[in-house]
Amino acid sequence: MDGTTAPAEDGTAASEQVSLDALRQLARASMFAALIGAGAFIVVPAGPLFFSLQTMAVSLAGFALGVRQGLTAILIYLAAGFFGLPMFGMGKAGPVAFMGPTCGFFLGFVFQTAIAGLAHGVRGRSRRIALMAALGTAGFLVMLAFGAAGLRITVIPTWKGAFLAGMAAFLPVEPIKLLLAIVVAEGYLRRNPEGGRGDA
Amino acid sequence: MPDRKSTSSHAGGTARRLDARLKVLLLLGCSILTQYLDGLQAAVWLAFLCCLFLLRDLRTGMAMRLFRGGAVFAAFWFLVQFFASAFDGVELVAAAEEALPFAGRLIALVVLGIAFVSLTPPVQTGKAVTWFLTPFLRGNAWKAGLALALVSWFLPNCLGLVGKAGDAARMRGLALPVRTRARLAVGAALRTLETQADLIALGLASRRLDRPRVWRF
Repeated sequence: MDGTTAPAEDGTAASEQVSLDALRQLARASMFAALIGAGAFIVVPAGPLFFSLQTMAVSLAGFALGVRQGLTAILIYLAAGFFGLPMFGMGKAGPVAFMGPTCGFFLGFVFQTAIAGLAHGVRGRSRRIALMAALGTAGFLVMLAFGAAGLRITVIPTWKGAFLAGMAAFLPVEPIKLLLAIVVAEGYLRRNPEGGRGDA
Repeated sequence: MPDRKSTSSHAGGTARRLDARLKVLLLLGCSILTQYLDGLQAAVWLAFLCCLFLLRDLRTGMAMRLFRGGAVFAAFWFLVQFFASAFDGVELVAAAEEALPFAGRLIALVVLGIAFVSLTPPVQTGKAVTWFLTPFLRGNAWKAGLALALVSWFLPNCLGLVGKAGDAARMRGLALPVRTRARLAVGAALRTLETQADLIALGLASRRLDRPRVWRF
């Protein structure tokens, strides 16, 4: 993994090739996209409530990869779901997620990743963790607000109902997911000090 | 005269061989059409789509699992809309009449998605994505196709790794809190996936899959 370009022995134009480093970044972004998709299928009980790890994985992608690479991961995730891969949990595949009641949450994921990604590349562990907590919380709130707006447009006739179903119902478990995301992201950044590159 | 099984298989084979770009367009067109159907129209459309399950390619374990999940998803949002309308003062029968076509449309969209996934290999989907995105991403469109193919490889691996990490903790008899187990499972899966991602990057380069021409139709 020296970031060099593989030689073209088949006559491929040099401009058509990508460096191994760029390929590695694409593979990592795809890996996080898959992790977000897998998160929808992993359900964790927390007292009387159950939650999936999907939104945790969205924050994790931002923390671990930064804004640019994190957005790449989330866009790969959304494109994969749109083009039919079973990425959205509960059996959803194809454009259903973008036309159904959860459309707002998916748009919110983009903003959640971007906001969480701002904590990436900050020097000093304690400072970074504090920033992750603050930006992660802000990201979750923005994502849930988009989700509630999506519910209001598609299913629930009132804003109050949409707020209760789309935001209030998720608030008790979101701090647990955020904590998980921070702990896992710290481990990732310890192993990969350069993180997602690009905007580190 | 061929029997039903071989007819299904033949029809499935034809659908598989169909150009992936056409299938993507069909998927999008049908999804948009589904959104505009109401009441009886939605019921007839759903019944027609359910006939797709006569194809052998759609009677796999994975497709059935996806369908069961999709049915739960539709039932959940039916109940949400029903109770939201009921709390809003709408009569129960009227609330059910309002929510039922919505649930029907959701199931129809789920069936469309399952049909597309079951009848289109990921590499073909990747090539179709590259073709559709070329006007927007130009020279970088092939990376989207490659990324999609990578995701279809990573997704089952990722689920398998998380499951294995959980199994390992259980077999070691560790009485850990659920949240600690979740953290350990996700962390372990991520560590393994990192290594795999790096190896995949090398593999792609060595198999010359990092060139745009591979991802073109």
